[in-house]
Amino acid sequence: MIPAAGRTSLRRRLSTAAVATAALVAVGVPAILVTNSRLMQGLAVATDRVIEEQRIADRVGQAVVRQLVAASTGASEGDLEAREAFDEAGREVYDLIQEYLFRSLSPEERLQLETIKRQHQRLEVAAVEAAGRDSRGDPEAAAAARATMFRHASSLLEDLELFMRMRGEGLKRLREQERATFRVLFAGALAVAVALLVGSLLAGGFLYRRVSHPLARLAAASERLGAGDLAARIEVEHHDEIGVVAASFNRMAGSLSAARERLQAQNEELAGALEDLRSTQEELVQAEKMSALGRMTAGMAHELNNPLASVLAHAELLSRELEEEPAPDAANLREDFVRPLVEEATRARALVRNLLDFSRKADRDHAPAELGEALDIVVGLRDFAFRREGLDLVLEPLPETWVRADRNRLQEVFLNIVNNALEAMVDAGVTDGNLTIHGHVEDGRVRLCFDDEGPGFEAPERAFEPFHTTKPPGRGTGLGLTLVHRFVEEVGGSVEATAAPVGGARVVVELPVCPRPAPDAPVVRPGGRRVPPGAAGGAAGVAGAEGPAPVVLIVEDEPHLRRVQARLVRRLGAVPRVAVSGREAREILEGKEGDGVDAVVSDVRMADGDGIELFRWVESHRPELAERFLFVTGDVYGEETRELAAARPELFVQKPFEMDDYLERISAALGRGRPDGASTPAG
Amino acid sequence: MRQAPPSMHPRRLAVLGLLLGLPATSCEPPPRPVIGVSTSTRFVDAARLALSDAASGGALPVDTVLIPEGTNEAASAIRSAERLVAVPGMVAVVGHSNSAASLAASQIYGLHEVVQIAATSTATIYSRAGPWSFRLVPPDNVQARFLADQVGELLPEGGQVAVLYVNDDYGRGLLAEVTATLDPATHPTALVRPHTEEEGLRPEVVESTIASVAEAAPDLVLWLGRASVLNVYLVPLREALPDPPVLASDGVAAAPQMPNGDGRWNGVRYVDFVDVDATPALRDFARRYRERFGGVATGPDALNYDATALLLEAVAEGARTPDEVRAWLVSLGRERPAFEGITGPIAFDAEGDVERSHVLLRIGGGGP
Repeated sequence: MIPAAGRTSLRRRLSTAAVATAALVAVGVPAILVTNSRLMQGLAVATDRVIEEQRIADRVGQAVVRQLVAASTGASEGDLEAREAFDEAGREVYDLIQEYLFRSLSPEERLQLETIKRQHQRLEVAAVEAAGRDSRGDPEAAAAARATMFRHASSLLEDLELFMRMRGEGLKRLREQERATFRVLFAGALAVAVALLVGSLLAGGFLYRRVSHPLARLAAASERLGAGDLAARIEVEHHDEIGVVAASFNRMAGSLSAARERLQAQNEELAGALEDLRSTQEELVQAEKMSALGRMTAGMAHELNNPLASVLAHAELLSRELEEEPAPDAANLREDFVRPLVEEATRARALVRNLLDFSRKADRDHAPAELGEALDIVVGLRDFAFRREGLDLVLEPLPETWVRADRNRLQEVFLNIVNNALEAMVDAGVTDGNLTIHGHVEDGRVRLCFDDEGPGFEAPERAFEPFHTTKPPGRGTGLGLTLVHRFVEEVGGSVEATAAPVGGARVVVELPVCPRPAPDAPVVRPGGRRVPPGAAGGAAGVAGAEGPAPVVLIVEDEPHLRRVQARLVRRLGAVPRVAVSGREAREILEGKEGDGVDAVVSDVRMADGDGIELFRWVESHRPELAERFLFVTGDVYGEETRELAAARPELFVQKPFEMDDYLERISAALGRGRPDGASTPAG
Repeated sequence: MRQAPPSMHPRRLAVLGLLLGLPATSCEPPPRPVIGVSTSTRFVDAARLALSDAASGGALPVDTVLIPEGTNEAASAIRSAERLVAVPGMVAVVGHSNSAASLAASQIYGLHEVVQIAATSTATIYSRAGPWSFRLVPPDNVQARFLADQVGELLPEGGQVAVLYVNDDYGRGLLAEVTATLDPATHPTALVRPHTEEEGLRPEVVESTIASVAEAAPDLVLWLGRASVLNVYLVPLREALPDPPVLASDGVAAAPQMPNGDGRWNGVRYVDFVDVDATPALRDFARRYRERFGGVATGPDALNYDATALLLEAVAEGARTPDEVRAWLVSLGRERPAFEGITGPIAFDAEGDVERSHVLLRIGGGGP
C-alpha cells in the first residue's frame, strides 16, 4: 500500500496542467487581442488627433493671416473695425492654441507650444504698436513694428509647423511603438503557441508515460489475469493513482493466485474425497451385493445340493451297476445314468454361472444389453428362494428390448428389487404370493413393473433414501433401493416406488431403449464377456489336416479337470501336454518340448503360479503362443483378470464349460496366428 | 530579494526570481512622500518658512524639493515640473509663479498624477487644468467683477478706461472677463493695449505705449499685468498724464516689494486676496518673513506659505500618496473641516478653486 502522503496525485498534476493551459489561453489570448485592439484603437485615435491638430494648425495659420491682414489694413489705432477684426482673429488664435494645451504633449511639444504662444503674443503687441505708430504719424516706426509683427508671425508659423512636425513625430513614434508592440505581441503569441505546443507534447508524453502506457500494461496484465495467468503482475513505477491501481491489481492478482492455490488444494482434497467416496460407494455396492449374496447363500447351497446329490447318487449307482453282473448296456447307461448326470450337472453349472455373473464387479462402460437376459439371470438366481417360501417369481414374456447399460449393474438393480420384494413378503408372513415382473415399451422407453403382494411401502417417497429400511437389524444395508435409484438415473432412466394394483408394492423402472446392436458390434453376453465376432468358432476338429498333431499345453492344478481336459483335447486330434502349475508350464515351454507346444490352456488361479503371470511370460518369451493362449477359469475375476478379459475376451473360457464350447474355443485358438489361419489338423 | 539555492538552474533561477521579485516589489513600502515647491524665489522663501514652522514640532514626515524659478515663463515651469514628477515619492507640488506657468505645468502633473497647488494663479482657464490641479485663489471672472466694481467706484459715469494688459494667459483671460464685465456705456474703453513681460520693458515699446495712453487720455488706467512691468511704466505714465489713477489686478500684488523711493507707486490701487496686516497670524507671518528673508511679505507670499502648510498637514494626517493627498484636499470642507491657514479657511470647490474674497489695497499716500 502506497501511503497517501508519499504519492503524487496524478489527478492533481493533470488538473494543474489543465488549469495552467486554460489560464495561459484564457489570459494570453485575450491579453494579446485586447492589447492589439487597444493599440489599433490608440493608433486610430492618435491619427485622428493628428489630423484634427493639423486642422487646428491650419485654422491657426488662417487666423494669424487674418490678424496680419487686419493689422496691415488698419491704418490707425483708432480704426476700431480693423482692431475688432484683429482682436477676434487673435482670440481665435489664442483659443486654438489653448486647444493644444490640454492634450497629451511631450515636454518638448509643450515648450514648443509656449514658444508659439509667445510669438503670437509678440505678434499682437507689435501689431498694436504699429497701429499706434501710424496713429501718431510715425510711419517708419510703424513699418518697423509691422516688420517685427511679420517676423513674429513668420516665426509663429514656423514654430507651429515645427510643433506639427513634432506631433507627427509623436505619431510616427506611436506607430513605431505600435509596431514594436505588435512584434512583442506576435512574439508573445508565438511564445504562447510554442508553449502550448511544447506543453501539449510534454502533456502527451506525460500522459503516454504516466497514463496511457501504464493503462495498456494494466489492460494487458488484466487480460493475462483474465486468461488465467495469475502470475501476471505490473511493475509499479510511479506512486500516483495508476500506481495505486497497479499495486491494487498486484495485490488482487496475488490474492487470486493464493485463492486458486487454496482452491486447487481443496479441489485435490475434494477429488481425493470423491475418489474415496466412489471407492466407498463401490465397496458399499459390493458389500450390498455380497450382503444379498450372503442372504442368498443358504438357498443357493440348498439349490446346488439337489443336483449335486442327484449327481452323486447317479454316479455311485452307476459305479455299483458297473460292478454288478450283468452290466447294463450302453443304451440303459446313457438313459439311466449319463443323461441324468448331464442334466443335473448342467443345472448346477447354470446356478454357478448365474452366481458368477452376479458376483462380477460392474463395468463402467455402457454397452447395449438385452433386458430379458438380465431378468432371466435374476429370476434364475431367486426362483428357488421364492418357491422355498411358497411364493412365485413370475416373469411375464417381454419383447426383445435392448438398453444401453452395464449388464451386471442391470442385474444388480433387478436382484435388489426382487430381493426387496421377497424379504418384504416373507417378513410379512405372506405364504402364497407372487412377484410379477412385466413390462412394455412405449415412446422409446421400457417400463418394467415389479408388483409384489406384500404389505407395500410404508413411505414410498422415502423408499430410495440411503439407509432407509424397515427390515430388522442385520437384514440388509438399507442401500439396495438407493443404489437402484442411482444406477437407473445414471443411465437416463427413472425409478418409482408406489402401490401395486394387487395391493402390495410396485417398483416401476423406466429405461431408455436403444437399437439392437449390429451383428458385428461387441455385445455383453451373460457373464460380462465381450466376444468379438468370429471369436467363437465352431468345434471343427483340428485333425485331418496335414502335418503333426498340434500340442496343447494344459495347465490345471485340479487333477480331474486336468484329466478331462486332456481327454477333450485328444478328441480334437491334438496332443495334450499337462502341467500342474504355472511354474511347471513355464519350465516346459522353456525346455525342449516347449517349441512343440501350439496352444496353452491354463487355469487362472492355481496353487503354485498364477495363470496371468504365465500369460505375461508367454507374451514376452513366446509371443506367437500368446495368440493361442486360453484361460479356463471359474474366477470371479480379480482386477487384473477383469482388465485382461475386457481387453482380450477371446482368451477366456468359463468354468464350468460345455464340452462343445470348450472344443470350439481350443480349435479357434489353434487356428490363430497361423499363416493360413486354419486349424492344425489332428495326426 | 530572496536568494535561490546555488545549485538551481539559471533559467529556473530567473523564473523564480521573477516570481519572487514581483510580489517583493509590490510589497515594498511606498517611498517617503516628497513635496515639491517650484515658484518664484520669494514664494519659495515663504514655503521654507512653512517648512520651518512645521519642523519646529518635530521631524518632518515628508521630504521636500524646492526649485526657485529664475523667470516667470511657462517654459521654466514646464522644465521644473518635468524634474519634479521624476522624483520618487513626489506627491504634490506648490507651483508656479503665475497663471501661464501654472497652466502649462498643470498638464504634466495631471499626466503623472501629482497634485498641484497653484497658490496665486487666477486665470479662469486654470479651472480646466484637471483633477490634480488646485489653487488658493478664485478665478479671474470673480476678480473681473471686483475690478469692474472698483472702476465704478473710482470713476464717474462716462469716465474712460485705458486697459493695459500683459498678453499671456493671465492678462488675456482677465482682459476678456473685464471687458465683458465693464459696461461700455458708463465706462467706455479708450484704449486696450497689450504688452509682453519682456517686450514691454523695451524703451521704445514703453514710449509707444505711453504715447498711446496719452493720446487716449483715459480717466483711469486699468493695469492687468505684473508689478515688474508696471514699475517701468509708472514714471512715464505720470509724466504723460497728471496724477493718473491706476487700478491694477492681483498681478501687482508684489508691488509693496517694489522700490518706491521716487513715490511712483504711491496711489496705485491693486487687487489682492490677502492683507498681511489683517490678522495677527498674517502679521506674525509678515514679521517672521521679514526677519528671515528681508523685504516685505505680501499676500501671495502668505498664500504660498499656506499652500505648503496645507500639503504638510495632508501628509501629517497620513496622506502618503498623490491619491491620498488629493482625496485629503477634496475632503476639506466636506468630510473634514476646512484647513485653517494664515490666510483664512481653505476648502476647494469642484474645480479645485477656493472661494475667497478680494481686497483692494492702495500703496502709499498721495493720489486720488
